[in-house]
Amino acid sequence: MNETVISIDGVGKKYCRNLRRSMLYGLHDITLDILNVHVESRRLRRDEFWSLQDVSLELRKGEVLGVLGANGAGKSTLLKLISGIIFPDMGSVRTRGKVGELIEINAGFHPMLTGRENIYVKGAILGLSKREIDKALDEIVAFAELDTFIDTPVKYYSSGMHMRLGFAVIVHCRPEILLVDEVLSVGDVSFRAKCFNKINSIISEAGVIFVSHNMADVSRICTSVMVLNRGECKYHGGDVARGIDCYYRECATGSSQLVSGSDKAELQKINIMSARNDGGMVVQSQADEFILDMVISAVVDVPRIEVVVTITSLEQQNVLQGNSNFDGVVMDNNGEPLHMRVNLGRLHLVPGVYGVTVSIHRKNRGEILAKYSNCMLFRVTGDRVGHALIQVPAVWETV
Amino acid sequence: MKRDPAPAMPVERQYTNDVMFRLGMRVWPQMFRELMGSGDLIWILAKRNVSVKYRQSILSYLWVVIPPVFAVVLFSYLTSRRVINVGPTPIPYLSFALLNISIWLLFSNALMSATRSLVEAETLVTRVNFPKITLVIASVSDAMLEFMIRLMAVAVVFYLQGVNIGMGTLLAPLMLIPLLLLALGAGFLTSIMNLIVRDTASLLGIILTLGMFLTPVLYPAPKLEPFVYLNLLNPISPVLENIQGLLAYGQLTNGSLLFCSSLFSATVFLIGWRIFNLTMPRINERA
Repeated sequence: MNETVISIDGVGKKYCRNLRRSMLYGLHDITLDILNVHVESRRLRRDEFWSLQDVSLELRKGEVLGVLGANGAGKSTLLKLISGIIFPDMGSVRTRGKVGELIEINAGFHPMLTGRENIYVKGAILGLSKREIDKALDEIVAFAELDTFIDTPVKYYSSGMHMRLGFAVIVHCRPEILLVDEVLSVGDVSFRAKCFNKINSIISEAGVIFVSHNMADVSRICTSVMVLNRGECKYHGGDVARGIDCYYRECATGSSQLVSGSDKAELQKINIMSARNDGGMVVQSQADEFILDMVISAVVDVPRIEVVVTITSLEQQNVLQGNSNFDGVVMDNNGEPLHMRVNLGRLHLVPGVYGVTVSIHRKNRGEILAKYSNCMLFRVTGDRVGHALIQVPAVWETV
Repeated sequence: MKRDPAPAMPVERQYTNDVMFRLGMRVWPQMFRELMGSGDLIWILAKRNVSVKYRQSILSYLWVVIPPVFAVVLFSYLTSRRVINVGPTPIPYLSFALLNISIWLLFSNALMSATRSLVEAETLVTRVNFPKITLVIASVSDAMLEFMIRLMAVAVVFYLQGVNIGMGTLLAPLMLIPLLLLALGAGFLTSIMNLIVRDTASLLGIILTLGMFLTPVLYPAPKLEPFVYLNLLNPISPVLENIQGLLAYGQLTNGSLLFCSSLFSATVFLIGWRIFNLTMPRINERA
């Protein structure tokens, strides 16, 4: 059952930055191809770069490989190589079975044709015969939830409907290799859930490659991950959480600091007291308490302030918060800098990179005097690498 | 089950830098198998092209007939008034010109829509892997349908002018095969060129317009010195000439030339096809 559907061996692909030169190289390559001359392609010509370099992988049925990486890391190049749209400059790509691409959702939909007609066109493009499409039609329409719109021209569809139709056709073509490139994000919550369930139900007979920037989705369905950075494979293995951690370390470098608010307060200094400085702030997930040391000042006409400290994941999801008001702390202000320390306790965060956001409010009126979003980044280390953001030390008993 | 492209064995494909890029003889059976397996796809794409075209039009198919009929009626008037002097034609001039122009339009429309086919489906071409050749082949369907509609107009004019056609007419459709092969073969090349440089289609439009005047469409094949040789090089001319011959006398009037031009068309088709398959992945990475 677990047969290999994709095996990629030492694949490299180069691209050219310059349009005119790219055309020139293209003509050159085509001429050589026609003359049947094989050239050494390991060398980079002027303005060329490796979009993908020395990547190897193997995928069996039943596996879902998540491919992670910043924009331009080579993810789409990898998918195009697998689907055979472009050929590698180095190495080899071997696929076994029908490939279903969910790369561009409306590729192949003609805007003037109705949904039903488009199902036939798309199905035929994916290699189905007319009879096979006839058989699958009802199921596709039902899955895409398009019942009353199925005879409407596709140009009147919303983007979500486009995506639903595209996904429905592809999964019902029973691909043995399914390539999904960040398109599910268009669907609404319930359809996304339906898509994931569908992917889960077909993986017994298909290998899936899943490209996403949404780590929640990745940890939800992937059985292994590959992290790409500038065309190079940085991590490849079955430990999804470790892969995600690697993705954060590789790709999330610049913090997107943002200062907003009415500018009546200032965060003069901030430091994580409990962190070790190891090429950046490092906190032990289960062992260290999280203690911030801050110096804050506010203009004199604000009598009292309150401070909120928020820890955010790199996806800008707020993970946890400490609020001086909820803790019943009163901070009087006389215009002098206030030196304070706040202990958030043990964070129990899953290893990864997190940001600290500090916002200073006017007491009782809620006016934001200053908000420092992502004013510092820190890294959490530890061995509790799991699928949820917070990994609590629980007490277990057998009863 | 008819023409089922989904094989029982899983398709195994391998892509490397050199395996697919061969001009050798081994690829031809594979290319033919791929083409044969794409029957359903070509049919569905062709149906799509045709059905989309007239969806937002009121006169729809009349547009196909109106321009050539007007052009030909105008030409008949000009020749009858001796403004333009054409020699004797095997069948009455109006029938002659309308038939010829229909055949010429079949060729030129087929080539033009083949040229545009890949650009019109660009997202599909660069995002999904399927035999792209089907897009080009299917695009010709439109020109073929238009040809059949024009043929009805031709039949009406033949009837009105009392042109008698013999049994040889039944062979005439065969003459169209080299014509379509030539249009496709050239279309394979121009469609790819158009994907790189959009000027290709515009330039081709001009060339085809000039080509119509150089081809004996509105006048019979030239007998005078320099034009005879020019005509020998024109692969469309023998097709027109022999169809006229079949219709009027029930026999080929210039069989050997037709044979040469058919051979030429078939060669263009095969070369175009191979180059199309060779260059497609290269084009995809640049387009």
